[in-house]
Amino acid sequence: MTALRIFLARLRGLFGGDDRRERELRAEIDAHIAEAAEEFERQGVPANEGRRLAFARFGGVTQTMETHRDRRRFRPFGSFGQDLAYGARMLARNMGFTLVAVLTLAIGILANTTTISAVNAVLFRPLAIDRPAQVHQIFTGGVREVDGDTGEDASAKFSYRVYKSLRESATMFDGLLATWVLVSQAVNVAPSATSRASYAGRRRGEIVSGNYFSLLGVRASQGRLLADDDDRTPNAHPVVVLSEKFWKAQLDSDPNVVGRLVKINGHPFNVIGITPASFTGTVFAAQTDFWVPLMMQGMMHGQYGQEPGPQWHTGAMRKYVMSCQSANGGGSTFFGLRPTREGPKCETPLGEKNCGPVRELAYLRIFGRLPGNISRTAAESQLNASAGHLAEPMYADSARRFTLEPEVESRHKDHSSQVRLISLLALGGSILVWLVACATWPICCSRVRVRVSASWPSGCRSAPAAGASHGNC
Amino acid sequence: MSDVLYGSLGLIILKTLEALGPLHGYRIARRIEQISGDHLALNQGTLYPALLKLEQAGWIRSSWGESDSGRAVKIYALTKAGRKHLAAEEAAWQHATGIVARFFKIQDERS
Repeated sequence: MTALRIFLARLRGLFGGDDRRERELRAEIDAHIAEAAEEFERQGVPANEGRRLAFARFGGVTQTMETHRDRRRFRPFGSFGQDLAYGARMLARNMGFTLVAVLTLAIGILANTTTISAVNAVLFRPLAIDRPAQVHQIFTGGVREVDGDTGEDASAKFSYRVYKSLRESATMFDGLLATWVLVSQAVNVAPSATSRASYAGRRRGEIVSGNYFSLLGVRASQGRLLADDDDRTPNAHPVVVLSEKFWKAQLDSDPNVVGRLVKINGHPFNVIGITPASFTGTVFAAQTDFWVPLMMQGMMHGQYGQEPGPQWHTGAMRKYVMSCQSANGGGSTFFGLRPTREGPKCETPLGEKNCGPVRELAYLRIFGRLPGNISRTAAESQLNASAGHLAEPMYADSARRFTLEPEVESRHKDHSSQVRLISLLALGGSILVWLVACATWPICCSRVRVRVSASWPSGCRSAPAAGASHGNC
Repeated sequence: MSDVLYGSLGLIILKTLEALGPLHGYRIARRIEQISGDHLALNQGTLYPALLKLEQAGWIRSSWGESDSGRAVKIYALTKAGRKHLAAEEAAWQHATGIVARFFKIQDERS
């Protein structure tokens, strides 16, 4: 309360009346000196000597007036220009210090800008697609289980059968697309007649439904992208779309890339087109290098290179075990499943164990485009109403079986919580660096100031604000 | 002047005004010197910023008047808020110095 009163009084001091108060103070001090001199005179001291003694007892008049003035009102910018000039002078005099300070700040700013723009891209920037706000990802509201193999949220993964069923019944959407991200596929490109560029290595790809690119609104920068006709018959569409990044870096921007042969896991695929550089796939913070139709799934390797991959499109639904109750209570390491009368058993390194919940192999992530006039809740209830005939118990026992989330939000849930964690850590780190820089800078400056004031003529209690009242000291 | 006393200049001024009633700056300075038996080598000038602070806090108020010798001087007087503040501070001061004093009284208890 008192502090507030003082603050307000000093604030008032900024608005006029200060000249009058300065004059009043001067008069007050003059009266003080006169009274003191008079008293000395009464004690028999000569008039001149009395006046000198009075001044001596008072201390510095100018200094008193200055302190008084500083206390009377704030000086927000009164000395700012002087401080600036003083700072510039000190920096010019101290080139080494200046160099270190400037470099420190430069590196700090650079690191921060980089981190923040990277984190921004990872966490918040929409995908480079047409009207990204309309694109939503589907989750199962009932189950929130982490996939033992990939560490990803299993609630974002669906079987092909569920995808097909939803695609047919969810009429509120402009369409639903499915994608399975495959981390490490063997990719080989041999030199062609027109280009010597070749490639052999492992690359990240997505196997996607035929409507993937049209639904996202991504247009080819060369050739054409996958269409529904490329995704009709199992194993009958050996076509591949490459990313612009892969095309530029690995194939030397070969102008005749369309029609070239790319071997994926030893199977030949024809390049039909290149995506624009801005589109890096549906996995945020990661670059997808190639896209092949969902129907070619049999030629892709599973997460750990099982050969051949499980073929859900043929109707032979393989069961996927959510977890295996091993001796230590968890873990999903198992070699195979053996059907028994009590249910399937897992074969693990420690022998046969009881299986956890069994569901269809589910690796597909499903995205849908919702037209602007359809609400999320309406679409969710339509999904749930149509899911009644899905035989799996996990879709039946929960009141809210399916949930929808806009892509920018869903990415935080779905893919690798590690990416988010690392991003946030990086962001926190850069903020810390920034704070340290902020704290260090004034300390360094004040060091310089202290040195100066120490070298000021003795008798001057503190270094006066730059340039002000040297005469006093 | 020791640091302890420097920090309590405001309190000393308030107590002086309470004891003697409204005074002008020079009288306050002289009174402080007299009471302290000239142990406080006060730079009299430091009084004025201190007075300003007390006035801003609302503990004293000032008005122009006349000194004994008929000179125009600013007279400072304790306000109601100042009286209250002084009472509180005085109690706190007694309490604090009392505690410290008790420690100084401790005899060597090792033998």
